[in-house]
Amino acid sequence: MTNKRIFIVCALVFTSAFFIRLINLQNIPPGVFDDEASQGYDAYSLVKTGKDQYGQIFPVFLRSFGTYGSPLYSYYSTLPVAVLGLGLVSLRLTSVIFGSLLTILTFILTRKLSPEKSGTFATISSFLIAFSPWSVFFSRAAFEANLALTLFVTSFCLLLISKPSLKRLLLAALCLSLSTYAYHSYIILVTIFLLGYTVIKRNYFRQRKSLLICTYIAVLLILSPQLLLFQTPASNARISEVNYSASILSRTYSPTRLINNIAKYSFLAREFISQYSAYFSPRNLLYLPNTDLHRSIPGLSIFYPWMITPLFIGIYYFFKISQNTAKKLFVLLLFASPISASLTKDPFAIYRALLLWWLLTLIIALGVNWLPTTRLNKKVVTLISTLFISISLLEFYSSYFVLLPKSRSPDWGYTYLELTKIINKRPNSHFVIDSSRGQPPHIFILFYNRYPPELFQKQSGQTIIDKYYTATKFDRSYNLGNISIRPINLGEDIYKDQILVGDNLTISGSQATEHKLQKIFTINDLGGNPVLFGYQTNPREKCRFAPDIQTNPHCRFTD
Amino acid sequence: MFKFNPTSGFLILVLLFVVNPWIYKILAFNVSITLLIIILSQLFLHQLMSKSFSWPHIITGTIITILLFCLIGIDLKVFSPLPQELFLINQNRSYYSKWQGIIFQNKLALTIDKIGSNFYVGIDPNQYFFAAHPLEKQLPSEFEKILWVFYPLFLAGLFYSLSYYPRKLLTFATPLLLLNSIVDPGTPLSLLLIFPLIYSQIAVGILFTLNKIKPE
Repeated sequence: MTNKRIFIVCALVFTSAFFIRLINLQNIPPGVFDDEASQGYDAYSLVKTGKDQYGQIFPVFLRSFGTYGSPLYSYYSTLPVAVLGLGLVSLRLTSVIFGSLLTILTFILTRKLSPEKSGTFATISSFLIAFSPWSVFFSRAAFEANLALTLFVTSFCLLLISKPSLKRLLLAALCLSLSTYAYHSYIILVTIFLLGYTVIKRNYFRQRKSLLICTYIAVLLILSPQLLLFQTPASNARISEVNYSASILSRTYSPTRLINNIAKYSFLAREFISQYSAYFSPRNLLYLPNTDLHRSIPGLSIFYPWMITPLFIGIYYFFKISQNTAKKLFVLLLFASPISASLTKDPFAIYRALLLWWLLTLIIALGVNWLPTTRLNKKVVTLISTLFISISLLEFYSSYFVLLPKSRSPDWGYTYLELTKIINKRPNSHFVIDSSRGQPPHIFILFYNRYPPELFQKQSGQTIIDKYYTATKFDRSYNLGNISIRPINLGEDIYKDQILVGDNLTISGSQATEHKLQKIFTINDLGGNPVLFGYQTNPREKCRFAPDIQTNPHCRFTD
Repeated sequence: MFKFNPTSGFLILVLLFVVNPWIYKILAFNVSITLLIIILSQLFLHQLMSKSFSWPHIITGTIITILLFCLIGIDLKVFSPLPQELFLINQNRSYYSKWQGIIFQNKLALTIDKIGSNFYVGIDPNQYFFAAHPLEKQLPSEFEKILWVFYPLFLAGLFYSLSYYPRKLLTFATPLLLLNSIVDPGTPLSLLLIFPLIYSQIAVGILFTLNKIKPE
């Protein structure tokens, strides 16, 4: 492949990847989910005030809902948010760019590592990444894992495409360390990768110890803000929320101490192995759609079911490749990538092991690459390829562009987008939005209304700033102008002139009749199902029929 | 490649039958099926590890497989959609324009989907070693069939078989996996056709490991 052809292929891959990630980004996914909205509002707050939504300067972890997420995505999003203003496109642009860059990085890496001169393997790999439903899905929303993956693959490329020089090692160290700021779970992966790389390249570094020391110092320096907060609840908030070890180890299985301890650790081992094994199960990888409503495409698994054949052919050819640094690192990462995800109780959370998806895509590409080398007629190969590509693209279109918005719009905050429009049309009414269940509504109002961050910071108060990395308890009650967000208390709220907003569990039909509430709007999801209801209270009417009108303090009107 | 001793293979399989709960579940259900499955497992292991094909063994194995398949029965739900599935098809169809709805949501696609589902259930190791955890649905078929401590040995056996007898393994396993795709996955007898495959791989794994740790 000539340089000109390489450039053309790279440009074609990047353009098509960028196009498919950008098309109709404003409407699909049809809104933002809570974590995404929080990332966006933090970026907006950083642009407007130089502080996060609670008023913290340069946070190492973003407090968000007391979950302390990784901050890098919000920092990177400040530029598009500053230029385009806060919105769905500006929030997702970082992900679009990094997701598209991944295809180029894949092309460069596979081109360099593959012995074939035609560059077919590199082209197949990059196109599989560019059009993979999961890559497109994660690149079309603010997912930190997507950013972390691209940073990690960048360092992988820097270390593998030529002999490690100080400049390359320092750049790789920077990308590796930054990936941990992009997504928490990469801290385990980066540690394993660095140690593995050192062991695999030990002969090279034996003569060049200074290079290695510089790299490790660079990594430690960049990671130092995180390491300094290691003992704080902020650092452990997420892992203690999603890890299963505490619940297993706290149980008593037997009165005998020895048997109890054996049972505890045996159950812990079983849990870990079952979780880890799930990441390599062909059923989960090739058939079963993911259960997480925010982080999956309806009806689509990680890979298409037909990919089972190229996957196994790819594994077969992968084992035939002679041992070298790239292969050793590849195997190391293949087995290390699901470790951190396996420590969490969420079943098969592929977004926590996105690197595994990338590595397996390369193996599938290796299997697909085998097809043109068979004795099959060229026309048959073209026919088979066209058939599978067409079926896959149609399936992707059906699941992502049709089923996702229609069936999952409430999970993507679409109903709150509609609610915000209704609220903005009634500036003189007071709204109470029920926050007793589900995603915290205030973040959608903040995001969709571009609520001034300085006002929200004032409301949060100095207490949170003083205990920023320890205040894990999240408040679900807020006052944002004419909107109160808190659990609805029917005993009191019906006696004030206001609009109560909630789902079908907040106020039932009989409660509405009993309390003289008038339904003034219903917000349907994109599938046509009613999700949110707005009720106008009628305190005077309620009091007129109240048996305790004389004694009820809520029924004393001034006029 | 280590030398296979049929007696050791037989004894290890018997030991595996005794210590794992799967065979007892089958025994509680049907004695003749239990006997057939035990014979089939022995034949499977023996044929996989022996150097040449023994036609009487293969014919016996095929007859037993067909018999077992007849005893378990076809999953009729594969070919006739349930009312709730039809409701879902119609609901999803409304999301598309008319012709798109017919392409993307139809009974044929549903049948293919169900066969695919059954096939992939059959090749999910967590079904056998972890009672489908962490993605369990609490179906009657989801019970811990084999103790999870045997999982590494199963992987070792599979790795060994794929390294030394890939064609033989694929030839024997493919018909079983395909037949299992049209067996009802929601009964205690589901995945029964995969039983010989799983047990033989654990036995190979044990033999392989014993051979590795045996002093010269």
